[in-house]
Amino acid sequence: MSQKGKTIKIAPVSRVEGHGAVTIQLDQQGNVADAHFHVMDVRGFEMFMQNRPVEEAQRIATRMCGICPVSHHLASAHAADALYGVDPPRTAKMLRELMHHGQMIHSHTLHFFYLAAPDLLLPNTGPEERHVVTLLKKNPDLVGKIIRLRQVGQNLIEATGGRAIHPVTAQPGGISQPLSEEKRDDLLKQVNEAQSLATELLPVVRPLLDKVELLDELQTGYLGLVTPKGELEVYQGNLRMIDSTGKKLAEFPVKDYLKYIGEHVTDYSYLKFPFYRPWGWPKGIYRVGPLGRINVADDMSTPLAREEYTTIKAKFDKPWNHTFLYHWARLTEILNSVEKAHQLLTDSHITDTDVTREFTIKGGQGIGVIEAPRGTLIHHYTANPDGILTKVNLIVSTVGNNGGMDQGVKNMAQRHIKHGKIPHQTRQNRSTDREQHRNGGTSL
Amino acid sequence: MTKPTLAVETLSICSGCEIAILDLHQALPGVLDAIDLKYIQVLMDFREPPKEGVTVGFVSGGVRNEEQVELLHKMRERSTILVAFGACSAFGGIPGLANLHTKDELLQEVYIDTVSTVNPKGVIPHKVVPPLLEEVHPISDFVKVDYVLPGCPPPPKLIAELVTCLLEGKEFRLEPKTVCDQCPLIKDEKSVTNFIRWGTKKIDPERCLLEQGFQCLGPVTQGGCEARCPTALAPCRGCFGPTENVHDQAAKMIGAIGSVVVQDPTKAPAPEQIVKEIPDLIGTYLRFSLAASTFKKALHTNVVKTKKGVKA
Amino acid sequence: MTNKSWEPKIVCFACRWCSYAGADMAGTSRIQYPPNARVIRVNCSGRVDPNFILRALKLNADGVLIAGCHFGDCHYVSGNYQTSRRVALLKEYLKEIGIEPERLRLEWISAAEGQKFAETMKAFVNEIKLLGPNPLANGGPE
Repeated sequence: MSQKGKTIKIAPVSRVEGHGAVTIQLDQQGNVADAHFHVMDVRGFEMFMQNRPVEEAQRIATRMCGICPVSHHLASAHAADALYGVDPPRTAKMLRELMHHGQMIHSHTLHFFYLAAPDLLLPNTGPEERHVVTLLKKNPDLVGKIIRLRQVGQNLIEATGGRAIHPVTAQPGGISQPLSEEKRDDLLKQVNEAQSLATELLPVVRPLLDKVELLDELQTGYLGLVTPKGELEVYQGNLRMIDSTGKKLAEFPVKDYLKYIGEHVTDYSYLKFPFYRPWGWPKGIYRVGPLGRINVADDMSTPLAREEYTTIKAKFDKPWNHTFLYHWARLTEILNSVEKAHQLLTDSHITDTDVTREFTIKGGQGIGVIEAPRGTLIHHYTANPDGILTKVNLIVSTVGNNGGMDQGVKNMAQRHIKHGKIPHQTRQNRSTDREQHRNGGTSL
Repeated sequence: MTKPTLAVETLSICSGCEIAILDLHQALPGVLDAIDLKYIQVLMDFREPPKEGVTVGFVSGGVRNEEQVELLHKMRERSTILVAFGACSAFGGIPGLANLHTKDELLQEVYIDTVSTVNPKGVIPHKVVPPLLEEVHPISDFVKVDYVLPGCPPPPKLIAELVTCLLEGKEFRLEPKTVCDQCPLIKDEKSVTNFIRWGTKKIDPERCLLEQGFQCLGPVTQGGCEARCPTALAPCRGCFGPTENVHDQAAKMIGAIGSVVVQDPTKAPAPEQIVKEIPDLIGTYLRFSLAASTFKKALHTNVVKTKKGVKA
Repeated sequence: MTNKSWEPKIVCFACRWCSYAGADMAGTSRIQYPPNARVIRVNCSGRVDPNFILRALKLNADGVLIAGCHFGDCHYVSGNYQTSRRVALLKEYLKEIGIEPERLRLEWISAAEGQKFAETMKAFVNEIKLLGPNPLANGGPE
């Protein structure tokens, strides 16, 4: 044991979802000996979802995250479909996917423009003023566009999910209500508007997106869904795991996830740390979310997103280990989701009224996966013959980044704190550690 | 005159309540113009509510750990008007279902017994992180609450109404109505002969879900949401909590079930049959309000640890 | 609380059209039964809001007895049927929350059944004595 010096604690960590803290342990010379990111709360969904009916889980799981409730709603629906052995009609799947793209538009807009962008767009502002409200005062026109873009996302969710926050319509075997043609027409208009907004907003921030030196590189593995063609996917598909050099380690259906993913527990955070099982902890640390997805994918599947992706690729060699590129990947995914939503809404089957399949209550196992805005999300249910949950395992997107966040916090601390001197809160160190842990959020 | 000020403290949360504030969308700039937002951790870099105090303090989330008790008291001290904002703050919310288990059971399950966890040494987080309380509490267990804005999350429209009332110095009160009162589905007669699990039968999109035999908490839940779930053909799960002067949402629902069944005794299901058809009574009827219900939690010394569904 | 002087506290909700008169009958017939019950007259067993029952238990009653008219005799036609469903569900509620469902008992006692009232009360008090005090009694509000 080296002799210990002072401990610095930053709590709460702000402009993130949930409760986090950072502690930095200095040695006697005042240099960083160790640093950690702590998630400060746990609610225990894996415990209290037990003894609940499988078909109620969709409406309980949403409360894990108020920013990405759609992802929990749908991962839960996928797991319940599998458990009860019921395949929803095509239109139900389309409506669920549309709901999910609404989620991506809302969450990504929130994450980048409301939470992160103030650091980039208000560089000379003090920390007390560096937030979206100041941005609103300085540039109401820009913020007006941001508000509208996120609103379109929320409106897509509300139209398909019944409510924008904590949707309620997905059920085993489908979705409770079809989409009327009238609503479809309205949504299509809104999605067209969202596409214009996204393409107007991107050039405003694009010059800031390649400042990768603001954040350290982090050599980790990556995990995400891909289409059968290897394109980026957020709704359904196989999981692909790569290492930090881009080598493919595994590609597998989610039902095999236990072979590839384990979760480590530390004594200093309520959030668990997942890892690539064959490599063990901590070697098997991987990251998820926009950067994880774009790193595992070989390509994008829609034109505007592909164009953006090609631009990034021309500047940086894959895989992108730069944490800062989370932003650019995220904005590329906004385009992807806007385009996908458009495709779904222009498919004539979207307004079909056959949206549910009846099912019979039974026991068994069901595993569901989806790409939540912040990363791969897995729900694994076991039920008794009465369809009552007896075991629940959740690997939420937040945990997927926990190892990366923890490591990133240490790197940043080591970079900025030397001989006991803590730099004044400059633009760099404010915008830095934040992106590390913003990829986190609330615990289970 | 100085502008009134607003602070938002977040306890054990999912952030949905904070997103609901942002979901004022185009109305948000107007609200921020009328009331000065001083503290909201999700959006701003302040570490605590301002020392000089605020006019209005919103508290979202229930109380799950020791640190949150302190945060709550600090917020109470610094707020002239304190609002329990959302179901968790008001009744414990869905995380309150953890009160069916002990704290130790919960930690054991999450950190040791879950299937993907690799924890051979049985480590339970305890450094830096605040210790959990034995159970989840609504904030009224600790401090005086001036107003309650229920909902999971509260609808943006009601948030705007509340803020307007407070700015104008008016009392804010939800109308004494239930979700049923605002529901567009047609109620005709109380003729349920059996209760069915959600999704196991096609829904009639016109008719009252409860009368179709699905569990719906509309009759016993405070209105104000414009029946947003049943309107989307999903039954109410009670996120607005019980109506005024009702202690226990489940007791009220049990009362309602007693009378929604067909009255002709030759056609009515036997009481034991009804019990069987409602597989998770507490988890359904107290989905959002267990922590504020009659007993607030399971009395663990008496709970036989068997999985449910295999009823004697 | 397990000392020998403990006597169960019973709250009894009795329908005025039958069981309350039955209790009177027991009294006028001088039939002995344990004095543990506080009898509350209600207009119908169907008037007993489940909240009343939970509240009685919350306030440390060791047992709650609902006494109503036999099926077919309800002054309001179906009140007792509703009660039978509610009590079954309330027993399930109590079981899930960890309170012995036996602390809640439903009996049909007519105005003529003074003997049955007394015997029910004896049996219930004995059963509650075996169960012991209300689990909330330690630290619960009086």
